[in-house]
Amino acid sequence: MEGDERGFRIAVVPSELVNDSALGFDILQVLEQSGWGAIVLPPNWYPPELSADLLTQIAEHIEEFVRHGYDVVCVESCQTLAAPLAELAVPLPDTAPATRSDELSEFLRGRPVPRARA
Amino acid sequence: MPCPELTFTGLNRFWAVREQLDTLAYRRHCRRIANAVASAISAHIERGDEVVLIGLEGSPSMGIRVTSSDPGRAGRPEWPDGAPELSPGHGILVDELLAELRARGVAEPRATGISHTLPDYDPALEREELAAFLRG
Repeated sequence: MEGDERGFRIAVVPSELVNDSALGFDILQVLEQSGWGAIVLPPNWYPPELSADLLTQIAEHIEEFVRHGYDVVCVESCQTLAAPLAELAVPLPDTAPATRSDELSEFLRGRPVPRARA
Repeated sequence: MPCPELTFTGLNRFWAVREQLDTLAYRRHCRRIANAVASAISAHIERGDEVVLIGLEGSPSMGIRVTSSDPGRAGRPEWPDGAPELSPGHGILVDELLAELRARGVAEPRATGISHTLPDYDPALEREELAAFLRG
């Protein structure tokens, strides 16, 4: 595996925090500057069946990432992933607080080196 | 879009060409992903959003204009990285997604691909081209 650190650190982010300016700062910019990649969850307005399909597929990605020692965190909340992850016997990732950009940056920078990179 | 290769052959997969992945099982896997992505595209179009498709040039799955092809590739992976396998065409997931959109009567979105795995990749030029593409 070649060395883009974002490949080993994945933040799962609710769509509303990316697309609706709910936070007052650019969350993708903070993640990029902190060396993290992102998976964006389906927006709340998607039909339930579509969201369920996408969440199942996202959970399958997370299972593969976790099994290979990547660090995966949820930004604020990813409760919608709880059931699909539980079906794969994967615990819900740790939660990163994101009420302020510096709070999120500090949390991400304080994470241990992912096992995949160690 | 979900990565079809990541959830089929895993993170530790070798790079592959279309012919190695183009099986009934992989097509079925891609159609499952394409069905969800096509539903998301339809939902956005229905509420008036513009949708574009951004793939990964050179990928056997996600290529938009450039994929990878080599009918003779098999066995112990001793081939060098490089351009000989690059060939015009869509990747397999993109094939299946466009077919699913056609089946639903949804217009094919404008599409481009990120080309960071191709020879002569220029990040600054690609950023400019991507910005121009998104401006329409």
